[in-house]
Amino acid sequence: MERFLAEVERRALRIAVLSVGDRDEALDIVQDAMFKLVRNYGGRPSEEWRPLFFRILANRITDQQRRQTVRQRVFAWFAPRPDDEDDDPIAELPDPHPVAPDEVLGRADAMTALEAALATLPGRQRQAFLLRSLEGLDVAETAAAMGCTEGSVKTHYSRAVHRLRTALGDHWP
Amino acid sequence: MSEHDRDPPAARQGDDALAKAAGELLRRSAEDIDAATASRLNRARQAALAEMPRQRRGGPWLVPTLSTAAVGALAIGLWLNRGPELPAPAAPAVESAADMDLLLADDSLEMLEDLEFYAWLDADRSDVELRAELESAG
Repeated sequence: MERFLAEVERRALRIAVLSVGDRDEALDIVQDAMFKLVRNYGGRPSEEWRPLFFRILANRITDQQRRQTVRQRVFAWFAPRPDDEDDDPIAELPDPHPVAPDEVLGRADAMTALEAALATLPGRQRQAFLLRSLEGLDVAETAAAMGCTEGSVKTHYSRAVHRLRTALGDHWP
Repeated sequence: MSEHDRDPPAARQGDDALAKAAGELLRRSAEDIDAATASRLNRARQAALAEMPRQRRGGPWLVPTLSTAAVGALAIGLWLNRGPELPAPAAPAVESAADMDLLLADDSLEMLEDLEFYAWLDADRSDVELRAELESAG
């Protein structure tokens, strides 16, 4: 079990960071996934651990994203109205994360461009893409991890690649 | 058949190349983490693994196994440390033919009829007390 966790933990953290956008929250998610795997499935055959671990991770990421959505709605409710923003100096600062991937690519930062493009994907497409491309799960394992059919995995993955291609352009990386 | 399978071969090759390049880039960035993050991951892993032995130790198969082993060890210990054999109590045997004659004599049967009287005589009393009692009774 230790060898398995040591082997997947960094990629799991990468997936969590790309999904929730916060390193500390991502670390908590990975730690929770490790605990749940050991507690609930430690006695299962080792070949089942990978899809189970990424299933747990995906569920925790989804929970976290739901919480983030609620938090953003609450903050939006209490945020100052447009009339009040004239005097807000922070509102005058330039956006530190311009979302247009082509511009980022112009700075020859392939990773930043990829992260920006991944951030534009719907959650399920990003999940399918990361599990297949980063973790290297096959279609069946990805379906088990995502809790859906293999057909759904193929559709999500295909759409994700198309959108990334469109966002990154033909000359990436 | 997925949407990807219906793409022209050139587009499919381009998409596959993009996915492959993205995967490699992401894997490299996943391995490239700072020492503090690596340490946190290590601590998280060790904390999770600490749950494993506790779970295994208390597993349902262990209790009957240990109980059986303990009973077996106890039985072997008792067998090895048993004390010297005591002689079996000998059955009261009729020592001789003379004793047998006494037992079978008619008067011995008469003695059995007055067994209470002989038991009273056999009690631990001095002759003086016995005489005094006989006189007071007579």
